Amino acid sequence: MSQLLVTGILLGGLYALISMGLNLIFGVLRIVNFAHGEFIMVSMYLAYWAYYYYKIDPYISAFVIAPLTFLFFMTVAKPFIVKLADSSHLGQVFITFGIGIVLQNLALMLFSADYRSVDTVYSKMQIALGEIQFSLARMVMFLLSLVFTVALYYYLKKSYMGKTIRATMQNRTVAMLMGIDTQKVYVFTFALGAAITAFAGGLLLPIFYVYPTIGFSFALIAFIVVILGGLGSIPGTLIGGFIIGLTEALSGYFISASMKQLVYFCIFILILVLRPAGLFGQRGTEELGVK
Amino acid sequence: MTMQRSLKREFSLVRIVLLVLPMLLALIIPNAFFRDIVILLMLWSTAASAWNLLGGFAGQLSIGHTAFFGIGAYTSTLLYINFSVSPWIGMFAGALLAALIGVVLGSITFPLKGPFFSLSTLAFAEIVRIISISWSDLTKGSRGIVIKYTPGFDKFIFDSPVAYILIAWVFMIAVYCVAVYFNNSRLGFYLMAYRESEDAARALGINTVTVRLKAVAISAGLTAMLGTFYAQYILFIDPESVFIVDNSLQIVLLSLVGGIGTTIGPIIGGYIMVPLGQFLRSALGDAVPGFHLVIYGLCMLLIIMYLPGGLVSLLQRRSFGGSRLKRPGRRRDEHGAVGNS
Amino acid sequence: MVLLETRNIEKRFGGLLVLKNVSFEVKKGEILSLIGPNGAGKTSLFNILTGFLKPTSGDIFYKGRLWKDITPEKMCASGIARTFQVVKPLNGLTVLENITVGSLLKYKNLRQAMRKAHEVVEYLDLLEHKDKLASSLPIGLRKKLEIAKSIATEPELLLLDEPMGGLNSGEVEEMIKLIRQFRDNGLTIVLVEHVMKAVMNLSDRVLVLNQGVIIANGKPEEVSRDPAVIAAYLGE
Repeated sequence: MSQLLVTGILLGGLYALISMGLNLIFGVLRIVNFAHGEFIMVSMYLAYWAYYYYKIDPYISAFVIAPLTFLFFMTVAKPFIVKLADSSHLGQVFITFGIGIVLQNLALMLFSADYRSVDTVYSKMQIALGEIQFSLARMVMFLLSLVFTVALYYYLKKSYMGKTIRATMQNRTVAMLMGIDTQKVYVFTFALGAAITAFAGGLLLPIFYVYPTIGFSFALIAFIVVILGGLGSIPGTLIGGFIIGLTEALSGYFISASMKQLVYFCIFILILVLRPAGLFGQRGTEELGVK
Repeated sequence: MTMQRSLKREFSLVRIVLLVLPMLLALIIPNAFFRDIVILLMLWSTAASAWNLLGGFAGQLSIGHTAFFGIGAYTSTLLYINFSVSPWIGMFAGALLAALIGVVLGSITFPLKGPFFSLSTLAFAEIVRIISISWSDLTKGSRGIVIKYTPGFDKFIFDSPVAYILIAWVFMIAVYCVAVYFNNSRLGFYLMAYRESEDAARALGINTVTVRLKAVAISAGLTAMLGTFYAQYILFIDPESVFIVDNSLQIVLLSLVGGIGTTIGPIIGGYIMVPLGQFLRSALGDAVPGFHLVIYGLCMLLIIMYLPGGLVSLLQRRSFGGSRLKRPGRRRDEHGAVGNS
Repeated sequence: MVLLETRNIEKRFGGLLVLKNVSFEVKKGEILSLIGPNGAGKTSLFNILTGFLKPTSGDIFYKGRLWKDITPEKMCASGIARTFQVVKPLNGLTVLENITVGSLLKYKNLRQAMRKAHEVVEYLDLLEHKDKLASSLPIGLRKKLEIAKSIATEPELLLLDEPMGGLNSGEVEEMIKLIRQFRDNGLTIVLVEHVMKAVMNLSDRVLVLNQGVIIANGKPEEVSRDPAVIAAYLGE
């Protein structure tokens, strides 16, 4: 039993980390990003090829891919983010969905549908504490998710940029009137979210196979975690991740994978209907940025 | 704009040509491939039109409509396979079931705003899909159901594609007429009022819940009937064909491309995107897997980014897209909706 | 005849008491203005009267009947129409169509409703704009449209939320004349307003709200001389 708990918590950390970026993009900016899974997928492939061709360890790649992603979105992709932010929610759904399709199928075209994985020194390593076993790679992700949660939380709370982001999220018009360049804020936050997601992707490579359509299941989990935890709430994403991770570990024993998805979707609707702000979101803020 | 003039526009010469031409061409040109495309084109245009009744007129942007499509397909097929009920009757049974489910779903999810509503419809559709796979005792699961090819009018199976062309066309015209009715009726006006401003609509005496439930019932029912048509045309259904999210997104895309909230928009969208998709698939699909979808995805992207009002907005000054598909933020502040003091 | 009556309306938002002991009557055919400094609770009261907010306690009587479960739709259907301070035009629709939505309340047939809407368009001098999209109108006309929509529902009681807001002096004059015309045609009117010129010119009676409590209720001249009212506006 305690093995299941440990597995669940570690999984929870993993889920939290892959959802953290979405929390910034959807939770804070309220941009419906249907390409979230594909961001992860691209990052995983980048890390894969880095390892395959240059023997660069994914953990190192992750630290390189993330800042590169950030720069990419701050520069090249900037006009696109602006356009995205100005579109209606349905427009965002389709733009990001379109991007997701393009990325998925580019991957398919370039890399074929084969499942690929890396075999680093530690990717199969297990640690045993008493009777409990867990994989080193997952432990690493778990620890990093804690680090990121704390870091992001304090960043948003204390730093000037963090406050600027929160102000813009709460009332874009007023933020503008107060001299905040809201466009820059949107781009920055999006880029940050994308970078965190890319980072998580790199870390996932030692744990999961990568193939073109792997994005969907991650995206689904991310959306649920973000909504369950509370849009815009950093600790909420962590807790939400834990809840989903534990649920998955405990129920994995009893129910099949597709039924698990069914349960997730039901939880999803239930939260939306009963408490759309999520566990830690501020009541009433779920409608911010929504017409 | 008086009603007289409006009806004239809905059935103008251009419109009539647009609505009739594909059907006529399909009848005249005996090419099986061409006819197949026209039938699918009309099918999806109609599905998009049916979606548009809820999504365009009422502004309730569902991305889970494939659930209704599949419910229609499975209801009529299961009734036919298990109880020999004619699919014509099964079609109405499916429509009724879908309408009912739509109303129940609507009453739960209508209070949700914007993306939350859309995401909940997606979740719902996925739930239905997973159930259709797991409840294999009822639905035969992933194996799907094959309808034996035994032609007969009462069995809604025909040996000649001409019958399917005509039936699909009748569906398209019928749903178009429903859309025209929406554009020129109390129900339609009330839905549009809700779409533009819920508060204003309520202050004018509109029960926004009731009118939306009516719209979802009609939209779901019509979509289900199309599911039956699909089943009877392809003679094979499985969760991967009738319950997948791609269908939901396809019909929304068609409406967006053509012009959401207009009567002819979804149909124009279908005329463009369905042949485009088919063409891409046949021209590029086999050579390099995935390439045609890359192009399709790019087309989707570009159209949505640069023509939020759809193609109709290029032709008419009046479109839903112009005012709705842009985030309202800059012009007016919706915070504090009912004033401040 | 008393058209609308409130008794002991109280409204709390969590720990914040916004309205307390608000009791007043609106007599048929009169123009009643509701004034008070910002934060007095006018809009909350207004929203309660129109069904957009539920009072924490207190009763509302319309035409002598106690109202339970008030919703905006029911209010409108019973003859109480309201406008919004931040106008809510139906942007994708033309002026005529906007007004038609209103007239559809009483005229279920679309053709008849449009004909009635046309009458309202003429009555309010909007004829040259009738086929323009609501979103294309300047603020003055949008305010007019806001009222036109409500009038089209053929109400007995019209609640106007700051109808003069954002209008220049010429438009204010026009609006004053219009509101007086409505009353002369049988409408009872309650208006929340800051523009004193309108309040003084139009009102039969003035209700002054301050910090959630009614501090004055009487003829405009009396109220404007009331020391409590003056103190409230000037602050402590």
